[in-house]
Amino acid sequence: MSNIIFLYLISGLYYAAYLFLVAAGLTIIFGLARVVNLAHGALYAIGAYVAAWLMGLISKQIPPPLWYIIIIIAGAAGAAFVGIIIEPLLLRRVYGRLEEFQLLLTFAILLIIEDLELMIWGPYPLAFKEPYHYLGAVSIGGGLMYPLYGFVVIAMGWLIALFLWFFMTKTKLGIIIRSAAANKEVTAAIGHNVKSIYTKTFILGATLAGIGGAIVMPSATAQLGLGIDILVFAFAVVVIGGLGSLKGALVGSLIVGMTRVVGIAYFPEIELALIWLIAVIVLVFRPLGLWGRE
Amino acid sequence: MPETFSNPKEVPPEARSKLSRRELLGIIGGLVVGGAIGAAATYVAAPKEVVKEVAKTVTVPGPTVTVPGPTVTVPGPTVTVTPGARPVPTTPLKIGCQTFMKGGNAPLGVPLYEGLVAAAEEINKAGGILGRKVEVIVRDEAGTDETVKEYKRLVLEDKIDLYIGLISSANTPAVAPHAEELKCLSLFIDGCTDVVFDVVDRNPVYVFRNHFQSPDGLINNFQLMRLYKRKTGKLPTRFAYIHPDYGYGRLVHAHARYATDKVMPENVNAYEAFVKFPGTTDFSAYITKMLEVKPDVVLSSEWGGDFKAFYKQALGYGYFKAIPVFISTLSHGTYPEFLETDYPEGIGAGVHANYWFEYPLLDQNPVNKYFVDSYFAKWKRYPNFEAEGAWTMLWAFKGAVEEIYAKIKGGWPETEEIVPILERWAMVCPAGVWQIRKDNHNGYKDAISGVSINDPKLGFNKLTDPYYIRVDKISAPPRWQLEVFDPKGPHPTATADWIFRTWKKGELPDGVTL
Repeated sequence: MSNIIFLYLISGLYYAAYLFLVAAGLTIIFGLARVVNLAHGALYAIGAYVAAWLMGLISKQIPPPLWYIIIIIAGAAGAAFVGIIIEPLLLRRVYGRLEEFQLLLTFAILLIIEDLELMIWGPYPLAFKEPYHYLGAVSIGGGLMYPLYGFVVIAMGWLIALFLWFFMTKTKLGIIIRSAAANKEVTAAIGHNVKSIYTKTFILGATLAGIGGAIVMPSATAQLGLGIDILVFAFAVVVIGGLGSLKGALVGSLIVGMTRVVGIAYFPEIELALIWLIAVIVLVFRPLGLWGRE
Repeated sequence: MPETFSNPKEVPPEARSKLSRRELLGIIGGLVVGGAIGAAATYVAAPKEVVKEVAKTVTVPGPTVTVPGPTVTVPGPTVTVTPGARPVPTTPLKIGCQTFMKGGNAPLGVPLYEGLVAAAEEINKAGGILGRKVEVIVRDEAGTDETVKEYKRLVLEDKIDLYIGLISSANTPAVAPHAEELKCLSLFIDGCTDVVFDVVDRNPVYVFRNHFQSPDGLINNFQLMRLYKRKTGKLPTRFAYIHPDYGYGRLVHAHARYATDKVMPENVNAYEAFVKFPGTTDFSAYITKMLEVKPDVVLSSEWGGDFKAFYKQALGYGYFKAIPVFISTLSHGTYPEFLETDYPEGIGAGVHANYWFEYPLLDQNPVNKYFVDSYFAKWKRYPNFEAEGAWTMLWAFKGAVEEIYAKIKGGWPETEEIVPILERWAMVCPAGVWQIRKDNHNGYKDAISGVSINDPKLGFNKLTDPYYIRVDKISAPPRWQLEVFDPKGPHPTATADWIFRTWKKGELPDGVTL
């Protein structure tokens, strides 16, 4: 029985790991630009598509250990590239405007990116299996197995969480981003290029989403509509954890990941409802989420 | 390949048909007409309705005039037509098609379009339908509201002559009432839920469908029992289920549960889950739960991109070794190349109870051989059941038009004249003998399931060891949905109702062996 509980636990951690990457990107962008970016799911999907496409092209030509690095770089680069284009060209124009404009624009971007995915990669799901199968599985007792690649994803989530904490609290750029999020006028007044900070922050958020999409690909498929599903859960995370809070994104991801596992195991018909029930309870008692701020 | 021609391209030239493409088309035409004649003969032998000599009102440009003329009848229902009043139009015959052209559903949807285009091109090369070329206008199938909107646009704006398409069981019940209202002959290929003709459109006129769902859940449920019995010498008792959360998954589950509760009243439903579809990427919690409850067998109806994610993850958990028998009703229903060779061997292989391109054996069914060869030549891959369904439907339509044309001796038939011909249509199609039943407009062909095996030559996982059940043994008898089944009653479909009322507890139904 304890083996099964352990399996549930790591299943929850696995889901929380890549969900955190997406939610962290969403929350970082909102924290600074105050834009609820519906296109964020599309950036996750771009990461997935680019990784799947590139691995399909070169996986047989490169040694297996490189696969895992290529996946991350490909996903990050693909989403960052899209971020570089859409932030200055489109999103910048709706900063500070009504939420309706922002939602409409980011939803339009989501749809445009989906159609571009269709144009570039065709109608069928893309998949690559080598990195998932290559690492094999480990016995966890009681005749149960767990794929080692799952541990890679979990480790990646925690490492990136650690990196983000370090980046935001210990590096100059991170401190400037936090400063701009608190007061962009003062940040500009002391000589920082706020536009550039916005762009860099957006690219960081996009990169996180892209990595999230890429690292899940060895065990899934890149298909149109991929970004919508994850977005629903990522929003639940930021509602629970608080928009703009990285700590909130981390704890929110763990809550959502674990709740989902419990829901699937014992209340499969209301798995999603359970997650949103928690979100509603948090909203009632802490309208800004667990670590949200005005 | 000794018995089965897995890859028609690999069949040695001396073993391949010496017939030319034109001759093969002739064979198909012959089989179509032969099948129709056979069916007609059956109906001729049956008691017929009294045919009355009537005049028919024909609308022509200008004033409406009544043209007297001789009455021509076809076996079965009364059809009254007037010769010579309606010349065959010189414009192409426009076929509107809706299918999933992108996304997680595209592995089913695109082959439908390809099968339809393949048939259209073959028909055009052979001179069209009564000389009319065929044109296909394709629109993406989407959510229900949008699909209905596009359907109406095809009928009202594009003014299509015929509609062929639909994949989703969410869409066919929504489109059917509009098809009846707009009087557009609509030949659904999939969207197989029994609900369409059992509940929504109980007296169909303009809507037909290539196949329906209940045999799918039932044969694959029996295949689970059969494979488990083969493996352990006894029947399974613990069942688990994982299905996509929409009409198709829900109904596969319902039919399987009705059957299992009858055949094995002591069975245990260890776990059932309905997963968001499409777009679920993480199945780890579902897999863990199934490993926890230790079922003897698992029935699934996951398919496409989601199914690929499921089985990849399941492999990592050692799932297919831990679960004695697993089957997905649609694992092999997408285009055949979709399942790669990492797919586990020796587990159940479902094709929607419908068609796998190697069966009927290519050397035993020239129609199937022709279809597979020509489809492969055109699209560079093998057809699935959606491709076969669309191809068959268009050829059936052509046959029906030509049959009624021959009877009226000139003139393009009206839809109302084609309908009675289709209502008793039978032909040999690539999947074998296929016939439409008049009372519910569903196409019937025997159900098939199988076992998975990797084929290194083909480079993908395929269905082998076919298991057939006669379709009439696992679906409600004629008129049950009208005379016995209560659509507002407790059972979701006529077949579920029929199982509940007639199958004996603890016994396999007549015609089913494990």
